[in-house]
Amino acid sequence: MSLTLLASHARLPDFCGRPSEPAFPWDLAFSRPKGASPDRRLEVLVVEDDTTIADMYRLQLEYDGYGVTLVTTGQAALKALKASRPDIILLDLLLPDRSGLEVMVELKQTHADHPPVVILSNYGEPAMIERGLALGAVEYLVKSRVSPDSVSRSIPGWIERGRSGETPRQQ
Amino acid sequence: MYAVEQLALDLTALSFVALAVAAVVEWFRQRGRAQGMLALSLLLLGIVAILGRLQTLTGTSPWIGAFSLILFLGCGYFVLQFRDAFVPLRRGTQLAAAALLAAAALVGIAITLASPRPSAVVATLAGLFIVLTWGLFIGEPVVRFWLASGGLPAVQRIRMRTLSFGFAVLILLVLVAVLGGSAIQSPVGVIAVQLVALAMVPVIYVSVAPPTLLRSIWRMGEQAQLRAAIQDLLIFSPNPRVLAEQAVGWAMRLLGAHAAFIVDPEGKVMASRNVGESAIVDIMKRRGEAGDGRGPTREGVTLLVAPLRLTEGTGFLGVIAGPFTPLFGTDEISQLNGYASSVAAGIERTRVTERMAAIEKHKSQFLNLASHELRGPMTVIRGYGSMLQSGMLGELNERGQKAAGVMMAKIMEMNAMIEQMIEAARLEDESLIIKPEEADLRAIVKHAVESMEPMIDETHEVKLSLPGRPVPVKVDADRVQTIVTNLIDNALKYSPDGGEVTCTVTLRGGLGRVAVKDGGVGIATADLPVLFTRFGRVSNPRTNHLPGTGLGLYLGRQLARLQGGDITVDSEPGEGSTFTLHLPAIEKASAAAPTERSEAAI
Repeated sequence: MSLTLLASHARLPDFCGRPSEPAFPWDLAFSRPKGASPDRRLEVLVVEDDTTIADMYRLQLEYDGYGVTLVTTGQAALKALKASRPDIILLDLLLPDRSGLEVMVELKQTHADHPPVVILSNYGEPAMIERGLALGAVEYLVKSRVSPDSVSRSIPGWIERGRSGETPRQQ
Repeated sequence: MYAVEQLALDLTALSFVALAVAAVVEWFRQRGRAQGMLALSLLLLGIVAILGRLQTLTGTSPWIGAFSLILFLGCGYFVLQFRDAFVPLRRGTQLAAAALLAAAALVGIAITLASPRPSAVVATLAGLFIVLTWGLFIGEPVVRFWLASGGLPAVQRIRMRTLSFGFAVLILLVLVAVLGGSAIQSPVGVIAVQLVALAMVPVIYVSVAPPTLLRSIWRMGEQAQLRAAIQDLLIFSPNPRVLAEQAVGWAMRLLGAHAAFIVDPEGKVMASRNVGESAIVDIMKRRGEAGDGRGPTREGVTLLVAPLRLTEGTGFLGVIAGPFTPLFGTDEISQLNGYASSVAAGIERTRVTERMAAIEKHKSQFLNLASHELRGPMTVIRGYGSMLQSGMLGELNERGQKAAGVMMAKIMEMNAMIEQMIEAARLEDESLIIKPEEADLRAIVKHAVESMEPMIDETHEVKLSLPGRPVPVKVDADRVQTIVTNLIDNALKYSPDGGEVTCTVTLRGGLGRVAVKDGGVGIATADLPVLFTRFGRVSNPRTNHLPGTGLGLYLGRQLARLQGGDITVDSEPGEGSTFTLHLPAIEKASAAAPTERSEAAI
């Protein structure tokens, strides 16, 4: 349960300053050194209404070579998905127009083969995590417990997990 | 036989006189139109009985006979008026009744005063008309009361039915006497009729003025129900309002009252039944003028008010008698007082519950605040902090690097405090979920120690000592890791001069143990009880400056206990402390293979 390891670790230290040290167990398997990116640039859709957080993630993700699209509402997220298919979605739960969980339900109905979704929320309640994962998120992270670089480094692993249909709970 | 017959007649007459006196006395005490009508009716019946006996002594007089007949009819008519006091008769019915009364009276006078005496047939027909009129006047209320009594509290119901029954039997007797003819005129028949009539006197009497004993017997059924219901009432009423409303209903049932109300210490009506707010205000005002307003008061016998002693002052529970309420005596006063103190306790309880609910709400609002309002900014501070430290935002010089490092350490400290507060709040509202999985305690502790490495400065050294064989446990690995990292963090924090911290894992006697030992400041025995309390921090000049929420050990012990374990402490001031986490080990067979997770953790 690497998920709860992240979600409940009060004392989990931050390794963001030491990129050589993996912060997550799966990084052992999936981390890639910078520059070893696949031929195509990976596209990330960030759904986040707090623009300071969104901008921060954009900074880190673009720095790491990802293509980034920022949207602030659930509606905009669904619209963006119609326009182009990102490789992964980073989804906040508390959005101005609807909850991230509702977005996931709609995604399931309208885009059967939607990209993997990673929930990045400030809700850390167990019930919320359960629901997020039950709706098919590949990971559920509490924003304040992770830093953008650790998230950025984990993205290839999550994409891989989404492809193989593996969820954290089946580990 | 004649003597016996006369004795029976005398006895019956005397009983009805006594009944009349009792009714009049009762009316004098309670007043009210209904009681007045009933008293009047019984008084007339008593006089009829006396006149009847007088005639046997003085010889038959047509004038007295006519007079008795009118009184007899009046007796019936006033029973009808008594009924009117409960359920008003329509105007037409009233007029018809008055006309019937007049007609019957005229027939009666004509028959008794006519000379020559009318034939037996005419006399019987006239008698029948009079008796039927009388029977109609009484019969209608008898049926009406019996039907209406169904919805009343037990005490009132029994009283109504007793009255109905008594009058119904009287009607029957009179009908039998008139229609029975010679069979009834025989001494045995007369005696039998008189005995039955005699038996009805106490029945009617108790319905007019039931003695204390009877009242309490009538109440017994209600009280048994009340005892069963009072628990629900006092414990499960959601708020003071609902409780007050139900309590008012029960007060009425308990005392057979017609109306009841509860006012709070400010004089505001909390609940009432069958009585208007202005009437209550009036009652309370009169009460305030009359006495000190503290003890129970009895105004006449129609109103009882008992104090409700609440924390913010004294409220009142009042019950008001209706025409059919047994009078309020000392028994009722003590009943009501006892009941009032239970109700007061119940109201207090619901108030506390409401306050608690409000506090709970504030707490969850706080949880929300901690998780969102603090986590949001923390996300950004932490994110940019780590970017700054990593050099992603531009290389920092040496001083900048140092500053960024300290900043990140403090950010992590603050983050940990936020998480501790949230975890504590979850523990409080029982939303904390433990997910036990089989694991090797060695792996969990190893991971915990490794995760602490960045926190260890040059002056400290953390030594890990693991047994050669697995320590199989079924625990929430993340929580256990949190506990262990917290113990190590404390060990480092409370040995400010540096030194060695050892973390030893053992398996003995079915218990997996993690002992974290430091050579720091230690804890005085007197301070030990504070350690594991919420927000409990030991006051020590050497450690007061250290940051912390005072939640770490509280959470640690609670989390350990939720998993069947505990945390114990062994400490000597100046010598250091050893905190030991105990966790129940499981059968080796089921945990022979280390789980994937613990492998990943290693």
